[in-house]
Amino acid sequence: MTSPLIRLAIKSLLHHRVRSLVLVLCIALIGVLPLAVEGFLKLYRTELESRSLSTPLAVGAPGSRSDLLIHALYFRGEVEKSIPMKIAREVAELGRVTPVPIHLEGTVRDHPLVGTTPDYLSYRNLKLAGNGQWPQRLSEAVIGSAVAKKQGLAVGDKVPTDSEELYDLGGGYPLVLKIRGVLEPAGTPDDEAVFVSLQTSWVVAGEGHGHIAVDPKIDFHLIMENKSDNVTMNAAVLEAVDVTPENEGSFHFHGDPDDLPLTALLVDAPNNKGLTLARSNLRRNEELLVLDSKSELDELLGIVMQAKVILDMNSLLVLLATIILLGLIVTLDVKVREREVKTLERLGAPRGFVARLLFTEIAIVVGMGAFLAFITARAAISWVASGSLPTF
Amino acid sequence: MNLGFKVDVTGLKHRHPGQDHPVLVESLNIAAGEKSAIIGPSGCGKTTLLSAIAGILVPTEGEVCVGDETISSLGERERRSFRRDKIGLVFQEFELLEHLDIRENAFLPLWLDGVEAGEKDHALLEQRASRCGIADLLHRKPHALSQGERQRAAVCRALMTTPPLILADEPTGSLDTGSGEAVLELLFDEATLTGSTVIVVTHDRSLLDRFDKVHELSGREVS
Repeated sequence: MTSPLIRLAIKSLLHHRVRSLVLVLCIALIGVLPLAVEGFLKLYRTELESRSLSTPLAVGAPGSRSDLLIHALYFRGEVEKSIPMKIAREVAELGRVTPVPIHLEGTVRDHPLVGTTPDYLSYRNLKLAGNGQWPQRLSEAVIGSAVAKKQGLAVGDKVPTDSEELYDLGGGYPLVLKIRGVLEPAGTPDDEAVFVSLQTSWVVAGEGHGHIAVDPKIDFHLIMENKSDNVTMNAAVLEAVDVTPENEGSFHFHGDPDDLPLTALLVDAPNNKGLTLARSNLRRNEELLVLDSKSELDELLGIVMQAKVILDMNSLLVLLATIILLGLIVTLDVKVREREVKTLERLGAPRGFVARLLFTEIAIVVGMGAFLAFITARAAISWVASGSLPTF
Repeated sequence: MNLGFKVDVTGLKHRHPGQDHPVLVESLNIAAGEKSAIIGPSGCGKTTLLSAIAGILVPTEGEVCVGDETISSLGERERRSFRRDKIGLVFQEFELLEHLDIRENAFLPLWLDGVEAGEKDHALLEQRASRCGIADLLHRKPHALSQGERQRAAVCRALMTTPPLILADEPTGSLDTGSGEAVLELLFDEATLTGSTVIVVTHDRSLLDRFDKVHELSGREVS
């Protein structure tokens, strides 16, 4: 049963419903930002930490530590320099650990294109949905669940990589990728990525290429210059390179395979001992940057948290301003309701009854505002967590 | 039927802040169950006297006894409690809360006591509202009623606790003659049923012959 005091307070709030609604909305608006920020930070922190915990060791070329961390773990941004493929071979030769090379170059409809080996699947405990297959041949790809959903792609579809230099006629062409598998949702950056073999990734980066057979009699419209010993073709007319059984054999890489670039190298160790050995061996190489992902991430989050302190201070000031404003509204309200207050007093309202009534009204308004703020913030966080907005 | 309270005022003197002349009432005695009118020119202190009897204010000097209680010497908390339980108040401007309907306004004295209206109270209200002629108006808000209906609702509220003393300050002041007479009739009928003492402050001399006694503020009994 509702107490008479609460009933009177509710009746009064309902009577002044516009004022009450405005107050509730104001408090909700003030509360939703810090609550949502707190929730987002917690969500991101959890996601970031779980990724860093599952990736204890990341290796790259010397440069920005945070760039390498973000690049290797979350497939975002670029690293200044690459490391040679031979580092992966050397790590493999150590035994006890498995190198998981990463070559991140280019995008597919703005999703990162990740060149790696099949070891990546087991390293991340990723599973292929249905009867999909990990890329076996050049230009084959496996896409993350979010990529499939957002881009409406499925096994058997073809999709070109994004043009890097639209007006660079001499540049690399987009490569048509054939989707061989879709990953099951993992709630990690893998959902947003497109995976190919290292060879495919190197071709996209221009490290390798193929040759197209041209018959001057048939493809005469592509000919720019035709000399007795050389035919020069117009490169601008090709929109994308499609690897077919006919031309697949012509794709090749110049130079030493050991020198082909990796943008990062992850190390899969079955236990701490293997990890420690690999770390200590890799750190001897001054040409490498070896990161303990967890401690790097903690440092990075520390900087973010410092920024949050400023936001918290701002929220506190807004809260103080709101309390003062609320006090003013209550004071004015008492003036407006002077007659009502006088009637209650004359009818014998117990001492402090009017104060308790006003306090109850404020408590209801603040409570409803806070509840609305909480619900809105939770909805926003759930929306983000469900993948409606990109997460890390 | 409950026995109404007698009211005795002795040597009352009260000075309002900023007022040059204090309100003076040498002596006023109202018997239990009596229906009394208090008259006097504007500003002579009729409302002050009624407020002192109700315990809304404590006179600067003098003594106000209501029933067996010397209300002028009670503390704030006791006076409020006494007023809630033992006195029914009717005002010139009705003083109904606009955000409550008539039923809720009637239950206000109970709510102020922290008591939720029970089945008995609802039955009592139906009965009183029926006698006050507002049985069909209980769900309405005050602004949806006529002046006469509002004052009937105010009388109904004053009677909800079956008080031994009913104080009315110009209850007919905002009403036309017909409505005023009807409200006064209602107040007297209900007081007769319960045996309550009724004290009415009024300007309307045409109503005076309905009272058992009429007191002029100077303390001189006029009839």
